[in-house]
Amino acid sequence: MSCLDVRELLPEHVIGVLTPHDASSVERHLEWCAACRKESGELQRAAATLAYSVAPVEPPPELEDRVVEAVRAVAPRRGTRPGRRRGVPLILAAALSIAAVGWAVMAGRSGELRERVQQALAEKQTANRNLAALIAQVEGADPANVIELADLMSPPKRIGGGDALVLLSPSANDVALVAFTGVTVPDRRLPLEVWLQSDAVPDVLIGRIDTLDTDGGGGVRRWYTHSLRPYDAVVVRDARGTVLLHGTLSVYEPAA
Amino acid sequence: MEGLLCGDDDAIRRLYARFGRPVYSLGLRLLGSREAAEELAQDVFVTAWRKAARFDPSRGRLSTWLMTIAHNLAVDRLRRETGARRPTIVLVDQVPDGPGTSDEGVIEERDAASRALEALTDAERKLVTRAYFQGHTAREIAEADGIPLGTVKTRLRTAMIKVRRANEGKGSM
Repeated sequence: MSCLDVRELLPEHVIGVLTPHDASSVERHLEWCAACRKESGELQRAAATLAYSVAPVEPPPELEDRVVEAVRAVAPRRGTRPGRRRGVPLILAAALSIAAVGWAVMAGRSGELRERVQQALAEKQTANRNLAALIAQVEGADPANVIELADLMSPPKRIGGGDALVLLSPSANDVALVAFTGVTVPDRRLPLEVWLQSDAVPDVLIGRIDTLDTDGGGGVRRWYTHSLRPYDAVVVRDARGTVLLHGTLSVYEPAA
Repeated sequence: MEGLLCGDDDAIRRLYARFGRPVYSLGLRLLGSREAAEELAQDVFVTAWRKAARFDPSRGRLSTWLMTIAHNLAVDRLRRETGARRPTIVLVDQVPDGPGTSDEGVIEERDAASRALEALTDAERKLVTRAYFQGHTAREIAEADGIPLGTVKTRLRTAMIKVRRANEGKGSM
């Protein structure tokens, strides 16, 4: 996407009405283009000013306590101070790499696809929770790290499933890892796209998958220099935008 | 913001004291009901806590950051609730009066909003209303009005640049 394309989309971007796909393209451009980023910042400030043009209305007095309670309800689980962000420790990178190939190892069993998929899903979910526990305990890992997991489910009448793991780290790069199996789509509906979703910010792409293995399996992994905290769901779509898998992220709580 | 990151009650209350009213007011105007505005306010401050580590005061004002979160959440809700009636909003060239505030940042933002609205033509105010306050895309507006998409985009960009110019000269907060 050129600067000209991006400038044309920026007003809608700062107003928040771009499609997730366009918003993601703009965001990627802004990551490296300082001039467009400056323009975006100025338009963002302009848009925020418009918010003050509505007549101020006094909120009900009890709303303050509700807001405090709402923040308090989530803060103890995820309250961490920001720190210097650096690379992911090698041992963690290795663990994630192992997880990324886990589905491939499970593929290739005999029997019906549906049966193989169900078995793989059951084993993989257990495996991913074991992986989360390993990451949480890994020597040298930041104790403020937060791990989120999501079970990816397919719509009715489809088979397939998978899971996602997101590592939120105040001191290292955040990581998103998604693996699935049993997704059956014709080649013309490839590539698949895997996205992190949020109500608060534009969705962000984890990766595209051009080919699936014989059991309809695939996986993506991506490191991020920005925080993945705002994202709360993962979706896998085909080239037409049809949702194939979807899951909501929740904080992984190690067994006491 | 450090206090907010730790979920400190006093920090949350201080932030709410400054921005609770503008956030609630925006929610009420965009979503059209007290219940939805109250839900939005809670979501905004929870999201602010979640994203607090990403706030960089050198790159923008706290008021901008928080109201952007509020607006994005409200527009997303408007667009997600297909078929929901969008409240009718008419922007006039003056910022309406309401309960007073002593927060200098909020006063400054309201002054800038007044200057911005005065700078817009009636047509631009209507366009901004449909995009910013009702969550319509440029394509939706173009199709509804039967005018080229490029024209809508150009007009929207022109209007936003006028608003931006009204912003110029504001200090940081």
